[in-house]
Amino acid sequence: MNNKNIKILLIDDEGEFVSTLAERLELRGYAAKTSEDGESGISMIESEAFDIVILDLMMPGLSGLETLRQIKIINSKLPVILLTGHGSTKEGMEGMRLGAFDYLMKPLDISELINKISLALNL
Amino acid sequence: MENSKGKAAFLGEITASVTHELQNVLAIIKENSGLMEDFLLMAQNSESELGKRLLKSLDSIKKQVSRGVDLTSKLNLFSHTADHAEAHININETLKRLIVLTGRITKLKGVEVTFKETEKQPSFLTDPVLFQVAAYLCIKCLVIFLKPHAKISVIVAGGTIKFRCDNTNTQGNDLVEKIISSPKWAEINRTCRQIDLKAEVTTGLPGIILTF
Repeated sequence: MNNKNIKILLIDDEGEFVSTLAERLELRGYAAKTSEDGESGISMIESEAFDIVILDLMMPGLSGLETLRQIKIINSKLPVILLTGHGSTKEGMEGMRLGAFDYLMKPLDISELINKISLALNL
Repeated sequence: MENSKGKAAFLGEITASVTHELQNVLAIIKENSGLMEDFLLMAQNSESELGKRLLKSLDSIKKQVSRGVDLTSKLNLFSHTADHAEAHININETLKRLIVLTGRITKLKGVEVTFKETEKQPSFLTDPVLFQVAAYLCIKCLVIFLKPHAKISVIVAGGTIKFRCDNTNTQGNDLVEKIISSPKWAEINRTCRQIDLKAEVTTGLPGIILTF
């Protein structure tokens, strides 16, 4: 699977973080879109097809875990990789229990993220 | 919030929240420096003198971000120890973390504090804040009397925590007398009594031993 065919949705309330990460993924050939909150992320998933979602756990408004629950209701097969802070591993594990593929700590290593994406998509 | 436990919980809650936000800041710095590195490598300028210098700076940013993350993670976990008045703690992990967080304070005095892992410890039910206060007071009490380049080893074994002075450049008995007559020693004992720890000064390789 060519990277260009892989559509990633990044959901994180830190706009600068998520836009820079999207840019780095685009440089590596992925098609990356961003959302800065759970509600608009859910709307994007309902209206277009994504191969994978990268989702921040700690967000104002609709929380990361609630966003994950709703994603799984819309499409149970859509893999979700959670992003969590150090010291929030409990939430990461709760996310795994709710069906997330895995979780990574922020700040993240982009090569580790790409590795997880490949594993999630069986590449 | 009138009592000291309430005060600790307040400080802990604010610190936990801010450390989480700091980690977001570090994440943004790391991503942007990563993007700069990506551009540099794409422009194939990384072999020029300027390119090499830029890569070196970006590498330094990565290392400092790592250092920042380590400190904020530990501070975040430390701040959460004020969440409950009583909790099961992992003694080894709690002491290792405390030593890192107080590292700058002891380094300014020229004293090196290291944790010597001996055996895995069962979890211990106590007041996590007071436990750490007792441990920190022991370190602080010893640091006051030690000369630069001295070392303190923290060893947990057989139901005790030993704060042992190695390489003190001072007479053992001298140090023992100084510890016992210092106001810090009285403070250590007051704190230990609140959480059923027994504090004693050790001779030989001088130091303080807490029995739990």
